Amino acid sequence: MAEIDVENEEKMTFGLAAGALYVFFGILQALASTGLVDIPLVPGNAIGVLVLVVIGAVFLFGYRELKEGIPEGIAYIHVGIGLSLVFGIIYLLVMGADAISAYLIRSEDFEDWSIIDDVRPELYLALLSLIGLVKWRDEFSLKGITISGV
Amino acid sequence: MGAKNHITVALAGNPNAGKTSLFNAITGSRQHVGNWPGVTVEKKVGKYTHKGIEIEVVDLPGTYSLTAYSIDEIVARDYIVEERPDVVVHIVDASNLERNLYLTTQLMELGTRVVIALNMVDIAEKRGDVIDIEKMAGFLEIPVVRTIANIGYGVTTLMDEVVKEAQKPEHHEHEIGYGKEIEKALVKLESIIKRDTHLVGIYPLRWIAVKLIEDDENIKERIEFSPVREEIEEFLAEIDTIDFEARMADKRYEAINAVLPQVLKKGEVGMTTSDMIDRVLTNKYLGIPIFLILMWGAFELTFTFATPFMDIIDLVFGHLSGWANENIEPAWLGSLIGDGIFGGVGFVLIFLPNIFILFLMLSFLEDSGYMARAAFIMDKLMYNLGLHGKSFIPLLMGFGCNIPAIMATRTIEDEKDRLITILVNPFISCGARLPVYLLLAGAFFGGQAATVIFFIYIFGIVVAVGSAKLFRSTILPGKPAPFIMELPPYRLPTLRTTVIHMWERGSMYLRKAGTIIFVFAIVIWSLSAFNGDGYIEETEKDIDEGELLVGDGAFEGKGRFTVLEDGEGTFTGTVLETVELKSGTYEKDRYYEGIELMEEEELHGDGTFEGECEFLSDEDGGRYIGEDFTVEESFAADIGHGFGPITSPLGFTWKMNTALVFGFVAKEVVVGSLGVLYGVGEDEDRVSDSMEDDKDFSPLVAFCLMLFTLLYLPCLATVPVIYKETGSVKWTGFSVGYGLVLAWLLAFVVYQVGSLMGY
Ligand SMILES: Nc1nc2c(ncn2[C@@H]2O[C@H](COP(=O)(O)OP(=O)(O)OP(=O)(O)O)[C@@H](O)[C@H]2O)c(=O)[nH]1
Ligand SMILES: [Mg+2]
Repeated sequence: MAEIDVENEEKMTFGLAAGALYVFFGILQALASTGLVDIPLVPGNAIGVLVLVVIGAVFLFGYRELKEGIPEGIAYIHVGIGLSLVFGIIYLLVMGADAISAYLIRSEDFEDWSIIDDVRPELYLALLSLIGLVKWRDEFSLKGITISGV
Repeated sequence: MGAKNHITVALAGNPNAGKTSLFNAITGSRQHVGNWPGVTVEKKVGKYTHKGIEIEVVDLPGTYSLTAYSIDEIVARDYIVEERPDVVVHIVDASNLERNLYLTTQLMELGTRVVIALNMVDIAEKRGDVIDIEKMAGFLEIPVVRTIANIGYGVTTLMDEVVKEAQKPEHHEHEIGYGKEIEKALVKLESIIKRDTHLVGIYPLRWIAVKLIEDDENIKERIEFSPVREEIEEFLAEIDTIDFEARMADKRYEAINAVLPQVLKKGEVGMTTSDMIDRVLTNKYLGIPIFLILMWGAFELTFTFATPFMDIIDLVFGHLSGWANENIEPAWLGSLIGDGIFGGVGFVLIFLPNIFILFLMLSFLEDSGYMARAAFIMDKLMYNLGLHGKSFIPLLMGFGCNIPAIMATRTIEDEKDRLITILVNPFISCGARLPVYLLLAGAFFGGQAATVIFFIYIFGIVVAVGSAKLFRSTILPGKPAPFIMELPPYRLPTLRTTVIHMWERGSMYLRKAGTIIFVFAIVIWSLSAFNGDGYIEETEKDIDEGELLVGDGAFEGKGRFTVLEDGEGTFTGTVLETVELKSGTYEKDRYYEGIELMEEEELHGDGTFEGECEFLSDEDGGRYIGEDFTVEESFAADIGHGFGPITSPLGFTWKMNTALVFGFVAKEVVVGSLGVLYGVGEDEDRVSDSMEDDKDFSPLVAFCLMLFTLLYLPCLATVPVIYKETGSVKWTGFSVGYGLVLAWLLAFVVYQVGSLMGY
């Protein structure tokens, strides 16, 4: 097995932790989706389950490769962080839009809406990735990625 | 050759090298640019004046060589070979020199005047490559200019060189040595061809000879009627052309590789960021799931994020429509403006925010480079279904609009592959169909709307690939051709570019709303407001004595409640339960207006209430309005009823039939028509509310209507494109007929099974 440097070891741990959390919440959400149980802050949504499990799997793939001593495994950790943030931002935007509906437009459908209704695993699990992003921000400089323009 | 003041310049090069970017930079136009090979499939002409010289610039599709296989390559080849532009600007991707220079060798042989635009030098240099352009120009004997097309760097210098090259008095052809044996054959061939004086005037002799050995279709056509044809064919039969052709390609690469090391010092070659990302996004197991969740993410945004903006537009048009109906005289004009224009067109405009977000996502997909990856990860799956990966790109483009998507099939070489891809493309749900889903899912599926719409989209893909499989195993048997596609490096689209792309497509939707949908809203309104006797007046049937008498009783209803005085109010709406009254009957599911309520009533949050009430006497202006009594008697109803026998097994009502008939023009018209038909003679501010009130409009019917809209017909603008691209009336007719039959069958099954299950 190849030498693993400290940084990659951190990423390995991160991958395992994040992967396990995403999959865990994926399972919780699957339970919530059946409609049999009510889990606070985990609204039932079948496709949401897919999202959580796939992101979790990306992290776990990274963990496995790093563990096997393949340094390129960090690609999975990075892309996992990216995907997780993308979904975090999407649901933050959704929450903002719902807040506009509820408080500014006062739409009928949103009469009983409260911010808690829009809190979901994709949102709070993204905080974890935010930590990863800040910690390894230098590696996210997108070096080598150029800008495409008209 | 004297000084010219008018020259034509063709932009040629490998796919995705930046030709269109350069074209836009030179001419200031905004042709479509995207980060994947095969964006441009037609030639585009632009004008530009450089130092008093008029230059006609022609953007061409990408091609790897002058031996063309697919239609887009043929366009490029034909233009360069047949039209003979004064100068060819060869756009070379500096980060991929070796492969790009292959085309250079072919252009040199053809004897065209070439100027090389060494593009994407920013990428190459960032990577650490050093390219000596002086040496490059020297070896190739062609001027070389560094460019960065997407920011317009190097354009002026390039055009200087182009003009200089065009004015050069003479031009000598470059030759590549192919080795003794081949050279001998070439000389022999040349001596035969020379006797066809006609041919000699058009192309360089040696080039014709080379192409003949390469078994080039176009040149073979050219010699069809040549006096020396037989002699040529005899000679070609003697030599091993396949072996020769391969050796010639090797020789060209040899020539390139002799020059390359002296010109290019390669930088570090490690794993690039793009490679890193691709390790994950094109992973054997994760690729497709990641693609799916990204698509889902795009949907969440398209649907949920747009809601408040839709609501605002909806409210505005609701008020405008109500205002016009009440205040504009005569009544028919008020209804035309209120129900027809504000109701119909406004109803389509409600979905503008969604359309813009959808197009924003598609721009990102095209500009980032993920498009090519999507094709790559789907390849294996697609191959098993009888298509190849390249077909996935037109399918994805179909999410925007099927027309450019069908044109994009030109990059597919195999004729059958291409035909299948064209035929299944209309099943991919274009942007115009989105409003239909948004309207129906929003009204009938509440919180699950995004999931339902996502399902419809996925279902479109499933039907498309399923049909492909079906065609493969029946009418178009065969195997898909092998698939090779370059994966360009990822690029981060700028906000500006993405917004421009989004605007260009989104504004088309706006334009459509202002033209075709506007016209059809008026047509539908007219049909729904007139019958054989002329304009159908807003009949406010006075209550006849004996029909409904003054009295009191209790009932349950759903509708709007206006407070007249303390504790008293008027109810307008539908009665949910039939109730016997002392002096009359309220029938279930009928619409009543102006029922005076007796006491303070409890109004539930959902608009329903129960309570005692009193009929107004006719002196008090009481009105009884039967369900949609005006529209029911109109021409629109006649049209809709005419299709009744066909669509009633699907649960559709005449209003839906009429909307679907006119939806052939453009799918947005389905929404516009429903807007008009449910707006005319109805009192609800929001059309979606009156749809929910329609007892025949259940969630199951709404779902079937979505399915039917997804599949039933390509729109009016798509049909001629299908005809043009297939060149066959038969296949165009097939495409239309197949869609109709399939849509009916699937909606039938879903409706019948759903009904049985009690939905
Ligand atoms: N970094 C960089 N990107 C470029 C340059 N020129 C073009 N691009 C990008 O490269 C991609 C392809 O550009 P296009 O102009 O569509 O290429 P094309 O040669 O017309 O492609 P096809 O029509 O598919 O053959 C786009 O994303 C452009 O923004 C350049 O000089 N530098
Ligand atoms: Mg192009």
